[in-house]
Amino acid sequence: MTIHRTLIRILRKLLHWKRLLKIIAALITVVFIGAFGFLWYISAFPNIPPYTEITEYRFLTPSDEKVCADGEQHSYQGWCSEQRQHYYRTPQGTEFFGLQYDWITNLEKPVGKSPLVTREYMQRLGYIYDPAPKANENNPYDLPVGLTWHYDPETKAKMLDVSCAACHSAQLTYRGTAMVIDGGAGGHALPSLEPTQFIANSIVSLTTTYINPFKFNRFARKVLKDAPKEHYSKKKKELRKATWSAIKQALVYAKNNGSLYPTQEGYGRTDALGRIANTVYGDNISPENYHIADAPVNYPHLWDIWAFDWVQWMGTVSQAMARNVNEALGTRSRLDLTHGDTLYDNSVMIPELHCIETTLQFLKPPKWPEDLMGKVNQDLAAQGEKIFDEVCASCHGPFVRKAIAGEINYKDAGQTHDCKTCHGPLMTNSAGKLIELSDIKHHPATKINADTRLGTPVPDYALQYKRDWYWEMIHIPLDHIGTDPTSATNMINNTYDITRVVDLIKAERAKGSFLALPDPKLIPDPSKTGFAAGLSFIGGQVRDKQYREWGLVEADGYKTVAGKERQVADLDGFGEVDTPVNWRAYRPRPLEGVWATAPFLHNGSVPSIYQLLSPAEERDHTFYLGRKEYDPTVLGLDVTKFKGAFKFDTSITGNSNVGHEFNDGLCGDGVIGYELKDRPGYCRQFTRQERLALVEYLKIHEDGERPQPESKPHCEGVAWPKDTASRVTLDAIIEIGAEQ
Amino acid sequence: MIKKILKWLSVFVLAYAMLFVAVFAGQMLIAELRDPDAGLVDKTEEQKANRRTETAAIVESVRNIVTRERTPQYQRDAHSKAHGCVRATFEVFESQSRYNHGIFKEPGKYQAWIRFSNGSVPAVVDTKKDARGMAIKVMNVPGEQLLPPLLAGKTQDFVMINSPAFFIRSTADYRVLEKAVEIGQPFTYFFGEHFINPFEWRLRQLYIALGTRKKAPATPLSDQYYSMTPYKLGPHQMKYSAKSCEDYQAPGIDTTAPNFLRAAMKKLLSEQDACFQFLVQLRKPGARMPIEDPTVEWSEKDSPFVPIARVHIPKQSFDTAAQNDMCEAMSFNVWHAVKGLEPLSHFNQLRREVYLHTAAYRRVRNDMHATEPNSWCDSLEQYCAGNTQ
Repeated sequence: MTIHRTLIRILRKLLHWKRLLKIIAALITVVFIGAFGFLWYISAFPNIPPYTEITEYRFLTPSDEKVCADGEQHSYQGWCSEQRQHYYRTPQGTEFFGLQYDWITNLEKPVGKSPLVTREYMQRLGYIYDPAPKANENNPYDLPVGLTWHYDPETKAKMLDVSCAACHSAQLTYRGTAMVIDGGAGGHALPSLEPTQFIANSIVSLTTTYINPFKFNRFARKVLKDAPKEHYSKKKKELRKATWSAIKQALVYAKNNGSLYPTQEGYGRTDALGRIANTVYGDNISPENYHIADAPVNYPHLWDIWAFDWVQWMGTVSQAMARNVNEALGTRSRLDLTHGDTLYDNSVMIPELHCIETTLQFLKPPKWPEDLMGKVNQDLAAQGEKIFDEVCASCHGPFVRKAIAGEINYKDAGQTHDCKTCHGPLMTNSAGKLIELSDIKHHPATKINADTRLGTPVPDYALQYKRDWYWEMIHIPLDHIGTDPTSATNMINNTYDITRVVDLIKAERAKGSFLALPDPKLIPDPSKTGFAAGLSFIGGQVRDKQYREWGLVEADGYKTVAGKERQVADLDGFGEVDTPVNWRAYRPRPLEGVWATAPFLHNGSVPSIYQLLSPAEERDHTFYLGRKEYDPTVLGLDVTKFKGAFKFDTSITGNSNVGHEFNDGLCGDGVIGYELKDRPGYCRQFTRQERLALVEYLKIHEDGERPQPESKPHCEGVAWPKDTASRVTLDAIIEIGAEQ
Repeated sequence: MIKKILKWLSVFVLAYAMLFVAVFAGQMLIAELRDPDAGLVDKTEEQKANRRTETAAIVESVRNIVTRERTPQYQRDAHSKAHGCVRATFEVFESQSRYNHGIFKEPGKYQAWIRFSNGSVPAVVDTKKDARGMAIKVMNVPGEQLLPPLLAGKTQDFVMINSPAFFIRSTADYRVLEKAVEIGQPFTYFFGEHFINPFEWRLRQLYIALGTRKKAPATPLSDQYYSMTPYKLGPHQMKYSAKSCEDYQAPGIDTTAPNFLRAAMKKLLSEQDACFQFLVQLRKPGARMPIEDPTVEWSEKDSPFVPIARVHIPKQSFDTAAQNDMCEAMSFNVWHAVKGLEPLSHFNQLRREVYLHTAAYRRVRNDMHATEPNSWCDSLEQYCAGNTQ
């Protein structure tokens, strides 16, 4: 009883309002000072890589003749500056928590008045800058490559848009010179939630701006500098509201996604498929669909991908438009999957994606710059070429699949050449099981048939219209290649519940809507939808919605309108059908220009090609990322320790650096070579000399002739408007598609 | 103040000790109550495919362990310390027809090699507790080999340790263990990464593991050895065992010496012959005799071990440099076997890849060109020269 009374007495004393006030005031002060100190510290001394001064920019692969700007200039990597600008700045419809383009450039550091987004800061974080002069209507504020804007169709706001080039462009530095690798592997940590990284820091800064009225006044004056005086206070109120909304969205995102990515991605990686799934199935449908995504992958390089039949590290997607739409959705394009009447409303910009895709058809791999990084030893390279043809080419191809009059004749294929000619040494089915090619007498029928969305196939466009032929990608089973399986197994094992979407469709159909339900063959149980099947369905709906608005697809269905087949085929990408497959495998790709794409393997766990040609035990178990200083002796990055680096630890889930080994013992289970001639099935490691020869050869390796790209990139009508219009006009696309 | 902290600390420690006991008791109880193989059998294509990937990962870990533990020779990833390879005769008796499959089809006498070993890697002195291994390689065995011609000889191997049960329950667990060994922290396998999370404890497996580490016998020839994992015997399933005919002693040997087991065997075999009974235990349908779970011993009450062959080890001297080298070059693999004695269970499937890979790896790294032996030769060169492959 007495204890009870004492407690009450103490409580009363504590709760006396004066004392309470004091306690609260003290607490607030402590929290405030603590937060301020922390923000000041990360603003003044961020733990990020040091600044690398760039004295010169160097473009690679110059054209033999001057082909650009009326014959005045060379093209580089197949692009004139027009294509380069299209690639660098064409938006794709992504939105990051409602962050606006004008905000980014006007934000101050969380503490102090100096601007947050500066060249120095962004370059330290691995973002790269356009070597072109600063003043540029595509890039008025001197932002990194790939950062651009689009106008929100409803609010008319100028949204920050992170486009393809942000992650798929690189600049490798070598003694002060930056080699521009267009389409190369990006080196930033865009998805990171660390407060010193760009997106998170922007949100932190926006929050302090929101809290601190002086800071907000400065911010508003700059953002609203063009606003007429009489509307200023109204605009400022709107700005304040929009700011708060962005902070809220970011907080919700952090709450939902904060713990989903236990394996730190660091510089140059993201768990692309995991993040797409968590965004589309999790953020957009239901929190139950969140899955741990612990398989970061490199940003793949983009040259030649248009010539492949399968893309992605696992080789899972065959249609360019499907892949691009899904990527845009995963990079936080707006998508409504929760309201029946506005189902599939989205901010994906299909014309722009098509412009970027077709521009990439002209991108060439980077050529080794001898004057900058040293002459190639031709004798040594010739030795390397021999080994390459014997060992590497059997998986990396390219395997040319040619069509005659638009059709590939499979009937006689078996008689005229070995299966391996097209399929490489190992062909797997979708379960990753090896197919015994010798057991197969006849080639199965092509997948184009009367059931496909294009209707009855017409040989000259149906299969590979215009491209005529392509490079077949083979799939090497996980257990054979032995590289980190997490990415593939996550994709195969995770399922997602899309019944909410299916229920919405059903309700709409009851009201007379034509909206299709998922194909029960591909999605038998919507509560357990596979990654690829679900994305193909949802992404397909987004794509078809756009096609329908353009009159390419029936207004109340999914059939291509008669006479529009060619345009649809063109937009889709050479008439490929979207038939995603979960291969339990990784896909080797042709290797021209691969020297410029370090670090290596799909998860970026091997810092150089020399190490990739070595037994796993000789590879670095930990190394340091965050700079892009090139080491031409090993074809890789300088990964020595430095302050602010990201420590890559290969013992963490998703980071394994084993597999794709050249080692002693039996071949297989991660050892892919070098097979002994006198003892088939037994492998040995490369000698140091052999590795060096291959390293030398890979500097100059060429993959030979490419298929025919489109006649020109479909970017007609791309303008840099000041209003809400799309940057690519529809007419241009439709016209281009119809030409021939 | 300090007293208080101490008090709380002791309460905490006590609570953890009780938790430890409770988890251990719980795991033992669950193991007794559950159907041992339930949950270990692959049900979907996906699980099968995952198993292949798992195997590749284990092979990789094993390669790394072998590389790290080289001396400078690349050795086995387990049972690297040999007490010697001895010549033996494998004599198949006439037995009931249900045992007459594979090498036991007809009575016969075969030349064989036997390698005795300590389990631990890196090798420990014989005076320490350890598992002891006995591997028999019977040569010139008629019948169709299970391995492809390139890897097969005409041999039938029997691989055993001196405990009837293995301490790891599944190949998935084995992958975790090999990873832990690879990074040099084997104890994290039993206690989890940070030791404090009771859900990561594998106390039953630890108990079995400690049980397999035994004080050394008087000589390697004075113990009983078991296959642990099951095999086919024609239409039946079986486990096998080799039991020494008598409790051999080697008086006058200093049992505190680090390699006394080799010395004891050397002394014994310089004076007399030795022998083992070779026994099989058939699986009785309906009894608690799991195929997949090697932590569960097959009860001898349900089905006794029955002798169907004899291993005769003649008086000999075996401890020569050439013969020891040959011993290290050999590979004892349960898949060196003939039809009718197919290894069963995921563990044996895993052993196929792991054993083939480590053997090939150490042979190439050590520059030893060894294949399957076919005779009681004195050196590697002899048996390789006599090999027709």
